[in-house]
This record gives sequence, C-alpha cells and structure tokens, in this order.
Amino acid sequence: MKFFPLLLKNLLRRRRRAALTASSVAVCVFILVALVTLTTYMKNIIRETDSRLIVITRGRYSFLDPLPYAYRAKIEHVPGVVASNAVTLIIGTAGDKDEVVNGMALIPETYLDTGPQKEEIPPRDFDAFVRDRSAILVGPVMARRFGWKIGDTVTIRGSRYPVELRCRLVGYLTAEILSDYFAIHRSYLEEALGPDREPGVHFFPLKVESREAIPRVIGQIDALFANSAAETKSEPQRDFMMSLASLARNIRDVVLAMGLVIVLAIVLVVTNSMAISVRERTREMAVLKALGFTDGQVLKLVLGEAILLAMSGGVLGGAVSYAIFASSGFDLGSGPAGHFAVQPLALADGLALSLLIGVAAGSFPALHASRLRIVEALRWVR
Amino acid sequence: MTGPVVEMRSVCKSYRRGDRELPVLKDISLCVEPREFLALMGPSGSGKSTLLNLMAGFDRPTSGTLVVAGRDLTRATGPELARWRAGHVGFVFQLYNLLPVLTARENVELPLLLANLSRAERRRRAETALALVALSDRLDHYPHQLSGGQEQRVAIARALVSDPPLLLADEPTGDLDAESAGEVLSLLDDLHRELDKTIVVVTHDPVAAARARRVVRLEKGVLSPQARVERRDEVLSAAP
Repeated sequence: MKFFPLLLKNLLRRRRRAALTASSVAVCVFILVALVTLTTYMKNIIRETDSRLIVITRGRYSFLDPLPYAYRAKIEHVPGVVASNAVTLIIGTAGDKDEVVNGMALIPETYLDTGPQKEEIPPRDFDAFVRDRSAILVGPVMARRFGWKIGDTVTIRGSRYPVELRCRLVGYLTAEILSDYFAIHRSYLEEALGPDREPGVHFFPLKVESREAIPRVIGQIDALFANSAAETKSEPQRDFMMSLASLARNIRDVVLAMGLVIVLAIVLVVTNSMAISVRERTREMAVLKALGFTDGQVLKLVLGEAILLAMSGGVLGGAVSYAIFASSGFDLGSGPAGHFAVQPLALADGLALSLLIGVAAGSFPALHASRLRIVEALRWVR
Repeated sequence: MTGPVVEMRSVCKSYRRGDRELPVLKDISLCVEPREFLALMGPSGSGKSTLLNLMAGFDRPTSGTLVVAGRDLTRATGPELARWRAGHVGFVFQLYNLLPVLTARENVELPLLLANLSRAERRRRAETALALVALSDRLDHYPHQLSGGQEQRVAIARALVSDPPLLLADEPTGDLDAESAGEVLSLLDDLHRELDKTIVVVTHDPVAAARARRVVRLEKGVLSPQARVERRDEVLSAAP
C-alpha cells in the first residue's frame, strides 16, 4: 500500500495516454457488460415464462407465416385449452417522420389470460382498453419516442396491412418486453381492412388447464392441422421464447466473437502503452533497483500500474454502461423480472475482465522491467 | 565497523562482446577504510565507474573477492544484493537521476519505502536529510523546479537518508557549473568531516579529487603503479 502513491504518480505522468488507454479498456468492458446484461435479460424472460401454463401455436416453419383465424375455434375445442387469443403482428409507421413502429392486434377479452401477467398492465388502463374498440396501449419507450400521453389520438399507418389506424391512447404496456410495442383490438384491424381481407394470425397464445395437459394439447392441436395448407407448430411459451432468443443468441455470438477480437486488440493497446511507458522510464527503473528495490518489487510496481490503469478503464466502462442502460428507458431493477437492468454480476464481470486485461497487458513490460540490469539501464538515453 | 568498508582482492571484470572477452578491470586490490574519503581518478574508459558499480553491488566481478560493509558481494543472490544495497550503500549519480514525478521530499523518501517505517517517520527522516543538504525550503519542489546543484543535493540527501555506511558518488559534479560543483563538493566534505561518512568519489576533475583524503588512479583497468596516497596539494599541482 505504501507504494500506491508512487504507482499513481507514475500512471498519471502521461495523462492523455493514460486516459486514452483507460478509455479503450472502458469500451471493452462496456461491450462485455452489454452482452452479459442481454444474456441475463433473455434468461429472465425464459425463466419467467417457464412458470406459466401458456402454449403458443404458430406456423410450422416460421411464426412469420400467418395462420387462418378460423383455427382459433377448432383449437378452443381441444380438451385442456382454457382460453385462447389470436395475435397479428403489425409493422407500421407513426409520427411526423414516419418512424417505424411494431405492435400487435389481439383479442382484449382474453389477453390477460394468455398474454402478460395481470400486474404488467394497470387494471384501469386495461378496462379502458377493453371498453373502447379503437383503444391502443403503448409501451413507455414508444410513448416517450412520440411524446404521446393518455387521451391522445394516435395514428398508425400499417405497411403490410395498408390501412390508417386512428386510435385513442388509453394506457401503457408496462411489461419490459413490450416497452416499445403497441396493442390494438383485432376487431378494429379487421374493420379497417374491410370484409375482403382478413388479417392472418402470427400466433395463438393458449392457456392450458394444467402443466400435465401441455404435451397432450400440443400433440392434439398439431395433429388437427397436419397435412393442411397451413400446418402448425405448438410449443410451451418457454420454448417459443427460447426460439426467439436463439435468434438473438446468434446475434449475440457474432457480437461476442467481435468482442473477443476487440479484447485482444485492447490487450495489445495496453501492452504497447505500458511497454512504451516502461521503456521511457528505463533509467528510473535502474535507479529504483540501485536504491534497493528487488526485481520482484519492480515487477509488482509495473504490473500494479497496468492493473490500476485497466481497472480504472473498467470502472469507467461499467459506469458508462450503467448510465446508458439507465437513461435509455431500461428501468433498472424494475419490471416483472428486472429485465434489461445492469446486474451487479455484469459489472463484476466487467471489472474482472479489466483486471485480466491489466494482468495480460502488464506482464510482459513488468517482466522486462524486472530483468533490467542496473548498469546497462543507467546508460539508457531516451 | 571494524576492518575496511571495502575490501577488494584480485578483482577482475570483463564483458563479453559477441565471442570476444573485453577486460575492463584487471587484478584490482584495494581497501577503503571506515571514515575514509577516497577519490578514484582516471581518464575516460579507465574502468573507474565500473569499479564503483562493483562496490555498489550493481554488478558482480568476473573473478576475485569483493567484501563491502562486511558482506561478500560475490556470493550474494540478486534479491540479497538488492536488500543489501537498500541498507548499506548510498549512491550519487552524475545526472542526479531523481524521479521527475516526485517532489524533493518524495524522492528522498524512496529508499525508506523499503524499510519498515511509518509514513510519519519516513517524512521526518526525509525532511532531516533535506535539512542536512540545506534544502528545507524546497521540500515540495519537483526536480524541474530545482537548479542542477539543488537536484544533486536532493540526490545526496536520498543517498544519505538510510544512513548507509558507504557513500558512493560517480562524477557528482560532472554536470554542474563551477559554483554548484563547489557547493556539492563542500557538502561531501562536510559529510565526511562532521558525520564521519566513508565516501568514494569517481572523478576526472582534479579540483573535485583534491577534496578527498586519498586519491587512487586507474589506467586501462589497472591501478596505476603510482597508486598511492596522494595529498591534496599533489593532486592540484598535477592538474593541467
């Protein structure tokens, strides 16, 4: 500890270099924290859905292939199905700048049985939604994006369904996963499209009477539509979310690979920075040894400097990621599963990574400094 | 301390350059007694700095025996040598070699970091050492805020702060103007007279050597056949 002031003064002698090197570590840590947070987010969603008795029936090959709405009546007759909904995904634009929005048309009456948990939508908002056929619920992120408030008239211009939907905002979808989505009545979409065009259903969320009934219900539904023009694939909601998550996982793996390359590059940057720093101080290292510092003490000083530099970058990266996720609409620690929150574990991982970078980057220069021979190093001229 | 502070017997030092062996010091035998003030003189390349480096434990002889402050340096391991240096030898460099990021006080405190002392005690000793070299008013100055002479005095305070039995100085006035050089030499003189320090100074400046009580000459790695006790007036009269 008594060497710490010396270590700090050495570190700060080239402030700009130290700041740039620490910033590069901060970028690295930011990427890691974002990845860990994303992974935790997906795990939370999957864990949350695991406890629910929801089955999702969708197109056999992709949930983007719509199914006929008429399936709903047949599905409801399958023993064990307690409630059903029919969700049509809508991509459209809104606002003066035609910004892209995503949402869904659904059947409000059974939404709470087959969709989010009750606490995810305030009861008063939900009642207002059920009562008004042209009502719309939006996530808080979307509301902030367009400056919408309860009572506003909101216009969604559909792209796949070329209709203009004028809706009245009656409440918010507070589920984290729906924070940038909207929900409208299916009947309102049908009315807007007219009698000649029925909106297909991207998936039927179904509530099943018991966990034991789930495999049987799944088998019966898929058998019902086997060899039809639109075959189905039914699965517990958890599996459905996992297949969505696997899409995200592929993206994450690519980002992870790039992140690894970045980590390696940063290690080289910090190594180079430390090597230059040690080289500039060759004579000073010799003086320390001449004063009685052992090779091991010189090694620890240089390694400590590299670790301090990298960890200050780690703290910076962690703070920046915390600030960014907190200020971009991801409520820290709130929501049903504390969804897109920067977990302490992610920050700890970030700090551990910066420690690792410090050790990896400092080892070579530290070893070099410890092996300097006093007589030769004293002759060193910058 | 009884017996010589430095005792060299048949010390040789050579360096390898490729497959060639370059002898720098040849069969040097020399003793430095306690409280002695010795000047090592000789032309550039004569090996005087190499000899001083051996006494300081910066390097090891190729052969021969070297005992400094009671320790056989030829048998000590690297870490043992380092620990020995911290407590037994103070070294003053020609180019001061202060750490630019540390204040005068912090530079003087550096060797004390290796001792088991409290922060307050380290500060107190560093301030005492700086008072000894008349720099009490420059405690918080950085090296770039000091003159060359003041920097060298800080370096002397750093060499003294652990109270080592042996003070070694390699061309301590080589980078100073005449006035600052005079101040530094007077300081070394005072340390020798008033604190009974054993001092070995390497110099090629007869004026600097004249402060010593004994002068030893080195030529091409060999103690000159005339290597003997020279008095101050002899050294000065030999100066060009």
